[in-house]
Amino acid sequence: MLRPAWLVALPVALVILASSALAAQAAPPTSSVSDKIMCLCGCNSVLSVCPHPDCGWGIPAKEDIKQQLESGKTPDQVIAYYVDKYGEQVLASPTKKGFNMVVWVLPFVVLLAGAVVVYFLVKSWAVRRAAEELVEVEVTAPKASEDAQRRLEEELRKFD
Amino acid sequence: MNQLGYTVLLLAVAVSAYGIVAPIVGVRTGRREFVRSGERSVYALAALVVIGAIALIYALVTRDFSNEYVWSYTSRELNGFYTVSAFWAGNAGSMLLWLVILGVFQAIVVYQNRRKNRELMPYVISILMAMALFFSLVMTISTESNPFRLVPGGVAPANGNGLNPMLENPGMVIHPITLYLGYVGFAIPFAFAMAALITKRLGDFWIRSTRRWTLFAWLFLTVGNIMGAWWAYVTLGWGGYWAWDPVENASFMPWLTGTAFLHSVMIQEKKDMLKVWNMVLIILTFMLTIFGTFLTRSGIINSVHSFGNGQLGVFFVLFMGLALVFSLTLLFNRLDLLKSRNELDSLVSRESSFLLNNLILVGMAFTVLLGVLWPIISEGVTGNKATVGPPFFNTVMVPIGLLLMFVTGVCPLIAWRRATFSNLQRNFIYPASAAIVVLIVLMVAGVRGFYPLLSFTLAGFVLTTVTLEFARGAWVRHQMQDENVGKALVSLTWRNKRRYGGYIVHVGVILLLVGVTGSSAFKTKAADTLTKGQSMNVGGYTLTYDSFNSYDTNEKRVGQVTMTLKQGATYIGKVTPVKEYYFNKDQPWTRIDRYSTLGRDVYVSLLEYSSETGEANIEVFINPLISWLWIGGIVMTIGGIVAIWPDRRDQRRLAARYERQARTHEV
Repeated sequence: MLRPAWLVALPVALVILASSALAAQAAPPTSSVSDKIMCLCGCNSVLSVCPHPDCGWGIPAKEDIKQQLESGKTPDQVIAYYVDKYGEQVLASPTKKGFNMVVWVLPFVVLLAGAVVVYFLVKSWAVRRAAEELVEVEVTAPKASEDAQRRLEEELRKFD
Repeated sequence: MNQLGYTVLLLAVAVSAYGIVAPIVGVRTGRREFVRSGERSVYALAALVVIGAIALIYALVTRDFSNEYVWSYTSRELNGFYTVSAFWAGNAGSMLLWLVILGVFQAIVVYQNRRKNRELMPYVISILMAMALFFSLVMTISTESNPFRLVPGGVAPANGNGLNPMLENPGMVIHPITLYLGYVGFAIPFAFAMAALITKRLGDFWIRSTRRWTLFAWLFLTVGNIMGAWWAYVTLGWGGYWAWDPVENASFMPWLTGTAFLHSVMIQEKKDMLKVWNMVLIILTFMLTIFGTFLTRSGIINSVHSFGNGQLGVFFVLFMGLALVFSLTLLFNRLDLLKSRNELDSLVSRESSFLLNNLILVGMAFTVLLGVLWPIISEGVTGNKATVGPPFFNTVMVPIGLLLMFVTGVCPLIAWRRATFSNLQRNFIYPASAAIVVLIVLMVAGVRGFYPLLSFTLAGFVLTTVTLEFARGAWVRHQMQDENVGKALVSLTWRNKRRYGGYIVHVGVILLLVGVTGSSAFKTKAADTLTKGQSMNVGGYTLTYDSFNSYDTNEKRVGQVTMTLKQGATYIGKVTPVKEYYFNKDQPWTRIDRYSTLGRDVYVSLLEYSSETGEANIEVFINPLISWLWIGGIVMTIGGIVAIWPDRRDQRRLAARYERQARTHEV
């Protein structure tokens, strides 16, 4: 028979266990940060893929990120911490604000502008062709009737 | 030998300088002997650079450590096979490799054209020799680019510094040389294009004369890029193959513009249009090959591969500036003559879809270039240097790439000249149905994600298009010639090598993209610290730590973990990831092991181990469909070889044109 104290302790322990398990689950993986910042050892790769097995910068950084995430920080907060410490250069891609917006938008603007240019070029070339065909028809039409007329005259001559 | 090597380089400077001037003097003064002398200088240069290469190889093989380059990149322990890759492991050797390839290519070009293209050749020689002069000057003036420089004091140290363990991989023996064959290969169509502009022979002659050179360059650039990806995959140990590193980007950009060029020249050949555009594309491609060499070797943008080198950077900037000003001025001066009767039969035609293809390819090259240069641009404008890494390229390039995939599928469905609604409908019905079936099957199978679904659907669409292209052609032959279908398929391809070779390349591209999609969208990863007997599970596989083995060689300590791989309860095999430690470089290195099938790779990397406890930190990646990336590469290569294979009918046609041209010219 369970004593009343146990009746209280057991669910409390379960709740604590479950919540700690949940908390452990909730800590995002290190890659949620290490995929988004660069390794600063000089390899010029993203932190999560630095090819140096003994990387002096990357290995401690990954450990630090893991700890920060486990302490309850969000990936964005950890990233902000690194930007604060090392400057924007540590980010694996430019921020989407200010002048850096240009690098994100320009490729699509250029493609779109190119598409418009191609469209109008092709259209003008196709129109030119159509116009020429029209001229050709006009020029050839009387010629055909001349032919017909000559043949008609020949036929008529045979009758004569 | 080092003395000989350096003397040869000095002679190369003199010979290439002579080779620039002599043919031009010959043409301008009408003295043919000068042109002939210029041609001979090309052969002389080829002989010189080959002697230079032999001198360096000799120094490398005999481990002549009095040569600083040999000291830097080899050691007594280095495996004989990898001595070859030491040739291009560093800056100076790579410069020599460029010059050697250029020297040999020039000689082949001069030999091929000894009886044709006589008006173009003096200028072609002069332009190619200008490039040779640049590279030989760099090696003789810039001390750090001299592959024959002696170590300080001139006394050979007992042992060399050794090759970077990263480069001890068969991929590194092949990757750089294929890439350089591609880079230098594009110099040939560029030189012909410039010669055509100078001599005002602006028809499609320069294109047809260099068609196979262009294909050759493109093919090697393709192989070089894919070999680089394969090398990164099996060597770097992070489970991926492409990191949008500046140097990877450097070789990807000329590939993109070169591919655009390969397509757009067809329009000039068929319709005599896009003359200016083709000139722009070949100039762009050539400039990007030089820029690629520059990026790799100048260290302007740091990367895994580059070697900080200020002086060399100045040389390259100067050369690129001169080349760009020269080619663009020339092009600008000839604009009037390049005007063509631009007309198309309709808005929707194969021609217009090629323009779209060009737009996307060049747009992609522009995006990559923008990304590569952005750190410099942003620092210049805002003072803050922004890094442009994989997240940027993946976000921006994936949608553009999918668009290109779509156009690849649509292009062959649209008729040349004029596509009517009914023939579009007829051509689209099967590929579109196949694509929908693929989509439904994938959805039912539980595949999710917008990009991967779209990519696989488009792959289904394009593959059906190409299959139909082959099937229709083969069926016609089967009916008309009474050939069995297999034979019809082969003779169809053989009689239209360029066209069907091209389609095979398209199949390769699509297979490659299927591999890229699968391995990037559905990759899973797990890492764990295990001791003997413990297991880890990842993606339906179980890896059990069996044993640990450690031993020393002269140059390194090797730690090796043997693991049993099971899929569910089925035994699959053993994997043995390795971690090495190089004594004289004080550098560790991982050598991954992988179990590879058509469906997926199990990629196992040993990150860390303790010799005392045998505890090992293991990282495992499951990369779905990645084998298709390499298969796609092989198919692209096969297609490229088919397209480049000499076509007797084509050659006869070209020969007849040369004859006609020669006759009219005499008149």
